Amino acid sequence: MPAEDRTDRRDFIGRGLKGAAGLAAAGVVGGGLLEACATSSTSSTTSTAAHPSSPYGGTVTMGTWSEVNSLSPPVARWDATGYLYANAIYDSLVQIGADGKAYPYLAKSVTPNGDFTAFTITLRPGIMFHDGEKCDAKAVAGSLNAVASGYITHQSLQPIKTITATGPLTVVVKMDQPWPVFPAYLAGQLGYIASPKMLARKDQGTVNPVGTGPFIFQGWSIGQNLKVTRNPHYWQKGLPYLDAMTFLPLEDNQGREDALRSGTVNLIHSQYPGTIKHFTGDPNFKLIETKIPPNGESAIDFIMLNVTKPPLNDPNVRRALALGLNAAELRRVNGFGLVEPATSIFLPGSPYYTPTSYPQFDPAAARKLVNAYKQRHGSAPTVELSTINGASYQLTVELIQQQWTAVGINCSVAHVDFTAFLTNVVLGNYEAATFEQFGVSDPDQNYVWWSSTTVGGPGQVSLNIARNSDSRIEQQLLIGRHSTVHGERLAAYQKVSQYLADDLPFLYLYKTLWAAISKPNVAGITHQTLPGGQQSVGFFEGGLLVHQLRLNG
Amino acid sequence: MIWLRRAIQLVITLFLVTFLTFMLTSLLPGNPAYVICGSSSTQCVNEVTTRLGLNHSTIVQYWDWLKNLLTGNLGYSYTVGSTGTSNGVPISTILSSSWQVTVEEILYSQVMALVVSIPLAMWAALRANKLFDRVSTTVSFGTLSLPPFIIAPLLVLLFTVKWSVFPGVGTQIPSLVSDPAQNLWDLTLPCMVLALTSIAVFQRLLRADMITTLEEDYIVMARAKGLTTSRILFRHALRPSTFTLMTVAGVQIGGLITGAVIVEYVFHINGLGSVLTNAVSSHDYPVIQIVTVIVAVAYIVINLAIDSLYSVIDPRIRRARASH
Repeated sequence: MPAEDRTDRRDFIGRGLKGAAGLAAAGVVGGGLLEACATSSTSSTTSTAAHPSSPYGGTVTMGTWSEVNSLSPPVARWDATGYLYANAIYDSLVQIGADGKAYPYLAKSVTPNGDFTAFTITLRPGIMFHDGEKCDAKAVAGSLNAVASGYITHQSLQPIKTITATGPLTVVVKMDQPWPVFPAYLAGQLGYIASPKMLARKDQGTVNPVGTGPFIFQGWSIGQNLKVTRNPHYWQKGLPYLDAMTFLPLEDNQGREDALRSGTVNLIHSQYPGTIKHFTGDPNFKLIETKIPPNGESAIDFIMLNVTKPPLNDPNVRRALALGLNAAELRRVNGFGLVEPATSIFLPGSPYYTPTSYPQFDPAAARKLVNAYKQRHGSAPTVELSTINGASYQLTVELIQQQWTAVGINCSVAHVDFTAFLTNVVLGNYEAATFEQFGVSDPDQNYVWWSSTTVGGPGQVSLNIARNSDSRIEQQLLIGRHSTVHGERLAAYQKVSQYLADDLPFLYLYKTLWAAISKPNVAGITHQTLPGGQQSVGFFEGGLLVHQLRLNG
Repeated sequence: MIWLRRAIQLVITLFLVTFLTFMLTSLLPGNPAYVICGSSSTQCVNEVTTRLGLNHSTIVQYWDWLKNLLTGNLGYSYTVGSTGTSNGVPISTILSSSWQVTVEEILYSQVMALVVSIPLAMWAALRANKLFDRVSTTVSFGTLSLPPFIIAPLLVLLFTVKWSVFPGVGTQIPSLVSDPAQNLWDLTLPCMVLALTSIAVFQRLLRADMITTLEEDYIVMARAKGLTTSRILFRHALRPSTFTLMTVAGVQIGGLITGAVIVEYVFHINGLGSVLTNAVSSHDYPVIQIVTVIVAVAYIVINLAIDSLYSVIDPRIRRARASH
């Protein structure tokens, strides 16, 4: 039975940016350098270690925190729910191991050239899509090209120049710059391989996906359920264990909790500290918290500042907001006693963590800055703090509003529905906004969010949502992207952390917490075995591989 | 002639409702093209804008939409299954099973409400100002003051989590055709939430009308003739006392749709309420417009039907209409 992690830590939900999470997850399960990717498995149809004592059969019904807009890799904006669906229906070329390294999965090997400007993906022979099409180099190249040129997905894959099938089972991906971490992106949305017939359809399989995965798509009632059944010809022999899975999007935290307690579902995931608290210590359920791989980062709840909008274009105003923000009080009020603090883009425990000059709560110092602003401009700074609808978010922003008002800042609050919120922040139509982001298995996968190259003009799309253009950060991000020397990367990202503390586009609140909660007989949630024998990263930021889920007893 | 007049009224009302709905939704902030494209590509936004006709004036867009509606084309979702290059899922697909669920919820809840409220009201009227009447009045007012979003989670906690009497949130409810018994059982708790408010309203209205009716001369005559109480209540007093009840039942349809939104959210039921909630939160304007039309049509047709029932219940109305 996999080990369980139960902590008394807690975190505040931030729904964050689902679409952006989907983009970030062009690397959300990424990480690790190429040394791991040059290895390969020896067999094409792999026998993964079975669990002879566990029964085959049964159905797991999982309650998810959201619904997705599409089941097609080139079209979708996947978040944790999207990756659950994807892991059921598709396979990714690469998966991330418990050690944070990227291991071949659907691919047999991923081998870089000398300067990491090209990668050769060798496929396993004999793998078929659910519709009978061959999963060969042409199909894989077509799928990769579709995602790399997708409306939403292409922006995080800009270094890719060409993707070509060079043999029946060989695909070569060429970059316009060295990109050692690229294999980790093959564990994200890019690497989920879809059938060519599916991609040829006008909707590219948005509501009718076809992959190579452990389960075959049966039906999707959007907003209600997604049903999949066992793939009897799955290339990982002996898997999956389950006959079927059903996913129920239950966005309401209490509803999801009630569904698990009443037995409607036997597995859920949750970010909400209240839910995690309720199940912590409950002998009738199993609780597993997210595992951050060694090179990876946890998501963080924070306030995003639009540094191009007055008065937030004044660094002293941003500093005043940071000094006036009592994150400890927020953790105490909202966090149910489970929250861990965050004072940097990297958290303690991360190899990239380093203490920075990020301002600590100091209301007196905040007031001084506010008064100085008043003297220069004649009135106090005024900031609008946006969030999405929901009682817990309302509590957060009202608390922050109180804190900022106490130091002399005029703060108004705006509640916006999620879709409008997403549109607003990406177009820069916001001043300050609650956010949850940056959970990745390698810091390079946050490049698009921090890079100066993705800052858009006024009214234009900007994936660097804070619109913080800092050449120092860009320089270090490129070092982190191009270098294979661990020490060099460490130093680069530590500098990024410090420069972000200087620029203050983000005001950190706390570490985001994810947990999977299930009935005791549900096993295989974590510590899955990859085709090469390594252990997978398991349950990470709300997602997990589902092919080894089983019902014990 | 009356029917012709009613039909013309129906058409005019529907035209006004659809026009207003379309105009109001067009005023909502946000651009559907950005919703579809994920705000990520100017090219995508331009293409989608052209494909969906968003660059035309609102009047032109409304006219195109109306023409499609009248030919049975409900349009396509902006958000469900929509990509930069292809239309989303047809709205008819989204609504295909959801409208049936909501109709069933409303009918089941109203039957529940009537079955409970009518006997309660009759007994309270018979025992006016006595203990039972006072207790039922108090309970009614208490129930009326509890909104569905309070009642629903409470009932879920009690009857699915604590006592496991009914299936839990998210249970996949079979259709009425495939498994009627399971369908009705699974819908009992959600419909109970909808019915509670109706029970209180119906009971209060019918009680008041029954008290008035029971003071009529013909009821005194019936008693004098030695008819039993039950015969007097059911055969002579109930029918003329139901006019207000029927009128309110028809007017309540709008409120039940609203209640269904909450119930379907809490119980995770794929009905019109869920569809509408999702559409509003994702700026799926075509779905909002179609659901609004459906609700408007349902409202008008039901009230038309109730209007017709008056003449069935009261022959005097039938004769008065016939003489016109």
